[in-house]
Amino acid sequence: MEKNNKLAFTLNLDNYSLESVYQAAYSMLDRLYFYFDKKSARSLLAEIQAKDDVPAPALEKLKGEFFNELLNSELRLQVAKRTKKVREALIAQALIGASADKTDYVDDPLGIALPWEEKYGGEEKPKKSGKKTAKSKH
Amino acid sequence: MAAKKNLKKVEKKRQKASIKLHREIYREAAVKEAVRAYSGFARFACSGQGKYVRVVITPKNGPVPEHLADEFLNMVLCNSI
Repeated sequence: MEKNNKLAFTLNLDNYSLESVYQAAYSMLDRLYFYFDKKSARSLLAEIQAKDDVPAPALEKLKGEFFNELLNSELRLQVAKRTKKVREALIAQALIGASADKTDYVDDPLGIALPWEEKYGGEEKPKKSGKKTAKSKH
Repeated sequence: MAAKKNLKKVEKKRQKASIKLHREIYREAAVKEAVRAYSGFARFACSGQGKYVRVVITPKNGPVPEHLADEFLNMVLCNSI
């Protein structure tokens, strides 16, 4: 079988954004070598090469997978764009809810920030009264 | 005889490689990062050519590894994202 592990094709940037091309290529970096060049303002030349020696039909299949991934990335980007405001609102709401605006650290209700002298007015620290007892031998 | 010729062709190919990278697709910083990562395998020379960054790969110690240029390209792409 003929082995040709390089393919070149053109991508129309009106259909796919450069960002989705990046994403799709990234997801297939383990199986393909990529080279991109700009032919014109709205078209991109893509060259793919299989990392392993594969027959021509297998490379065509990889190209198909790349195109599927490209569609997938494009859709994800569109959904991300469409839902951006909702996601931002949700995160803002979550952050507001998580912020400790009810209590202030300056309040210090337990008096943790007070030094010993201020808290107990010069009293000596209580000594530990419990003496160590010898353990009973069995 | 033909095999010898082919071998010579491959050897010649492994001597030097020149790649043109479009600035709108590949970031220049990404190219530099990849050059730093692969500088142990070969010598890299970068130069600007208008919309392109030209990278010339020449052998350092012995021939340039077979897929070095391709792996280098993948890394530049990965860094550009």
